[in-house]
Amino acid sequence: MNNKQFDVAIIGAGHNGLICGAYLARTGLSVVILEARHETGGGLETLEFAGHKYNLHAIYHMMAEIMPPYHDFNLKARGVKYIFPEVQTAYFNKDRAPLLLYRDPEKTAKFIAAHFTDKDGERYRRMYNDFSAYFEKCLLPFTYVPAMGALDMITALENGSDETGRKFNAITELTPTEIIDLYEFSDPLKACFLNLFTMWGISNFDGVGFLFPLYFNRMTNAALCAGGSHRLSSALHKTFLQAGGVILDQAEVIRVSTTGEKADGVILKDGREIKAKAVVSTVDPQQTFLTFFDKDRISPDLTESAQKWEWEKQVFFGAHIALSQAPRYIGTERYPDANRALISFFNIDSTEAILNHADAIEAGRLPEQPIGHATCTSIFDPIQAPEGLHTGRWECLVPFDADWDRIKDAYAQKCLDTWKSFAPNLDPIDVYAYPPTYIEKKFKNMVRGSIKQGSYKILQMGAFRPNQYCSQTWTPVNNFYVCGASVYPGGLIIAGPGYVGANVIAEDFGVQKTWEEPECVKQARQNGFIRET
Amino acid sequence: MAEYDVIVIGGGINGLTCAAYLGKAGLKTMLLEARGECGAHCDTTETNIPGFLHNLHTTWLVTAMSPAMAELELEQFGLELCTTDVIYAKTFRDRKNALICNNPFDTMQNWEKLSPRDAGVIRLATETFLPRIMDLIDVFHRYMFTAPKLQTLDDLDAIYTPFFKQIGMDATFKQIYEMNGFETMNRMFESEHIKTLLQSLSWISGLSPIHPKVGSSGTALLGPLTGPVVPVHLCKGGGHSLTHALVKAATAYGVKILPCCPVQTILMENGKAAGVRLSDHAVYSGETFTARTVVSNVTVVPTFIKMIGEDHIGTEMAARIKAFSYEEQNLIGVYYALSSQPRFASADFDEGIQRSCMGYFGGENSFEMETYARNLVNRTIHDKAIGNWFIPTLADPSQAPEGCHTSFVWFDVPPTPGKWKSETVDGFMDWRRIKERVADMITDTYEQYAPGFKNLILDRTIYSPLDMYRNNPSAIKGNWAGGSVIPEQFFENRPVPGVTVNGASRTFLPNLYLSNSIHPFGSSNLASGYIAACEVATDMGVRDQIWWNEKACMWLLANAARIPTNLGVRRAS
Repeated sequence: MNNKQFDVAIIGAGHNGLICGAYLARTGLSVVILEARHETGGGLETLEFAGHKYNLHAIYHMMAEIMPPYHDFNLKARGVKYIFPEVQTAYFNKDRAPLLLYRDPEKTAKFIAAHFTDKDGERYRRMYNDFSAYFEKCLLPFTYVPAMGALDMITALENGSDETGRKFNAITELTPTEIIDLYEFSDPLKACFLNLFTMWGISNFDGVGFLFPLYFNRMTNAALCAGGSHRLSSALHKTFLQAGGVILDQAEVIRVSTTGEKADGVILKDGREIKAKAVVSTVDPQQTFLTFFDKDRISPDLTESAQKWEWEKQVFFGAHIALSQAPRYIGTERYPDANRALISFFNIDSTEAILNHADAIEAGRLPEQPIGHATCTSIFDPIQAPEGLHTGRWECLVPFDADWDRIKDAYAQKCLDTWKSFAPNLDPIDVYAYPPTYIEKKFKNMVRGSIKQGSYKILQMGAFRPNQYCSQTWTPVNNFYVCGASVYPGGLIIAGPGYVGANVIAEDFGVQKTWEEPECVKQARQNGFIRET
Repeated sequence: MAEYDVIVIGGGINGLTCAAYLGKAGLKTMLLEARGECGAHCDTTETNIPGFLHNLHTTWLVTAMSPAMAELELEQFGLELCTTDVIYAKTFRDRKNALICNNPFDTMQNWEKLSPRDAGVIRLATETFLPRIMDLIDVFHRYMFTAPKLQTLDDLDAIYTPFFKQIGMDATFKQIYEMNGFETMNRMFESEHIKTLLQSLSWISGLSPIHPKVGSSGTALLGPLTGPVVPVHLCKGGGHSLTHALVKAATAYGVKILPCCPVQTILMENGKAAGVRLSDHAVYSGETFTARTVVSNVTVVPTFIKMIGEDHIGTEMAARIKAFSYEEQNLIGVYYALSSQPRFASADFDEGIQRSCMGYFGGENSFEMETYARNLVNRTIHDKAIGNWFIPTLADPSQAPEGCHTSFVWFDVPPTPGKWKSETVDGFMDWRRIKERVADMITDTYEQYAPGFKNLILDRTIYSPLDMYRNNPSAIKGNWAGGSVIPEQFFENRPVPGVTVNGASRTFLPNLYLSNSIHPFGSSNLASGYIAACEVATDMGVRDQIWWNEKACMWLLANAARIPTNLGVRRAS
């Protein structure tokens, strides 16, 4: 192993590294993936303890069956099954009826008409349809092609053959609150819809509002991976192995080796050296550019952009619990569907409160009253708990800096008290408090508990993610590529960076691709939204 | 036409081993695992602070003695063994310790301080057995890796009886075999330190000294060998790395592994096993798969009572199977994340204990060990914590953040306790109520043997028999050996007379094999999986493979010298 020369060495076995590796291995290239941890999958982690499956990180898979690898690797036959709960979200508030968002927009519109106003129901229909079109025709295809410059994108959308492009252009400069205002929603509905975006720790809306329709659309079509999120990475792992790929775990990369101007391999912490014609980093820009290379190998611009990389200021606190019963929420006698929502939100009724809450966290203050959400996976997927028991997951936004070692258990209790105030039958058998400091301890590239490997702000999005030099997978270092969550299109389980990376690298190697471009991309090309390559 | 040649139910390490062999032999093999991860009893997870890897089950491995090591090429699939030069250390309240070391002369040196006479016994064992190592390997291969035969006991008798005579035990191997592990140790040694050292080692190996045959096998048969050979290692990255290597091997040999696929029913056709039906909760809900052969790596009771059902096996057989015991070989584990290495009070007696990745505390003399063992049988939680401690990070520092350590204690408990101290305990489900307090008792005891221990604790995780059962419902009551290792369920009797026929894994139902609950018992030597693979391959006409000829321990003999030692032991400055 030590002396073996590979075609491609990939740093990091998160879903992007595994996807990139599996596509490339399937073209016949020899690929090795180096993973620092003892397990692969990155954020697709499912901790099994006493028969409960705790999804400590990723849980709602936004791109589930529509991400290209799902079809290209026939993941269905490899045990990846997605469950799409009919009731996607329930917003509980003690003073009024819960708001339920169904996966079927018509059902939601009717629910809103019945329990809020007729007009709101009609507005929901309109917004949902607009957002679906933006998602399907623009945002989805853009996820699986290399980053386009903002001006190029606007021009292409403006001049395309489908009017959706022009309509989408008209809102891309707006903030999520402004977009919701276009549809004349007011609180509490406005707050609830906004929350589907802000729940990911995004609060600086400058220049990222264009993502709001995507989040709205996806969070009303979210899926659970049956058996836990790790099933996806496990299937990707096996796809990669069966294509002849090699995975080394507990293999922490500390350097990228170079000959002349070219990357030619990696050096591991234990001293092993691995040679490769191309090196790919899926970890964050700071490790990638500030620690893997000598300073003089990297241009000052690149060094500076890596130094300036910003991590999210709002991060997750989780409480993972073994339950003897599924939660039954108060006031659901009239709304039995509310007990079957994938995600239950509590106390979200004011846009101002949400924004203030976000501001407070950004300023480093730990919310006295956590605003969070809860999921009981085993309602939909009984295998995630021992027979007759249930598995619950609480998550809320918090600042990273707090004395978490000391307060984590008490804070988890506070969160569970909030949850229990809406679900009085909540009876935790076991509680695993999971503060953001644990996230950083587990993953070197989730610095300060990062959710998306770096904040979503305008200068870290689109063609600027991670910077203007590297957002299309290539980097200024020859034979060195990047395709992790810090690269366009970004984080969460969307498979974008790894897929785009595989395409770019396969083209550079001149190998025959074993896959076809996704339909949505073909359609976007036909519409003129994406230029021919 | 069946879809598969072989379906293996259950991806524990023995199921994986069986599947990997059969895949490599060219059979179309599928393995169905109920959990998300294979290796339910070979599991390493970050249960509390990330970066601290805890081995909830298998930690010290005897995989190095398995023929699978070479035949399945486990090293090529990422298995890396490691160890410490002192491999087992029992520490005592009188601030002495008894050690077992990789180098027999180190062991003798420590024993010399406890009892020159007993050191002489282990010296003689080394002198007697080392030159006969090939004979021993041959008989051990047959003892562990083939179906139990009474002839093997005769062969052991030929080797051991002269040795027993030489050390003045005044009994033949066959007579000794009928004794329990307290009697055998009383005859072999004079030092209570050394007697309890080997009793405890036998016990944690699965062979409780209280039972005849079982206890003598662990103490008198294996005990003297710990002088010359200690085939015990840890696995880099934690015990689960063995699972990883087996999964990678099986996958490379063409085995299809489907996790989250619990089997509901073994399909029977004309009285023969013909396939499986998955549970409705499986990823492939309720699907059926047909196979020419079915191997169950689920333990004997759920295999026959749940998956096959009384209709197919008859009431009489069902009653015998239902009587199979899971009441011994159950543990509560307490897992600590530590800020640095604990120091045992007995380190001043012999500093070697500070270089041992595992050992034992409590059970100061044979009487106390015996009381503890009797309490288990009487469903009483012993009123003092006596147990097996580990500090895996001394062998493999990658299991904790730099400078930190992991440690844990396994305490043998009755899974369905009725009593603890003066308190009445209400059986299996009561573990939820008492586990914190039992863990406190264990922590207090650790503190007594290693003063200052409590100050090092950053976090702890408790894992009771109830938790273990929920983790793996095939391990009824959390039993880790595939069913208790007691004389009625040992060697030729295992698992239940009449369940296996013409070997160790072939069951009385045609086309159905077991790779769990059978001889010898669930263990990281992978023997049960190996035996099942041999018998299935023979019956399907594919046993004759040029790569499939290894003997037990051969890999170890050839490779022991290059296994890294003391990677996590800080050198004295």
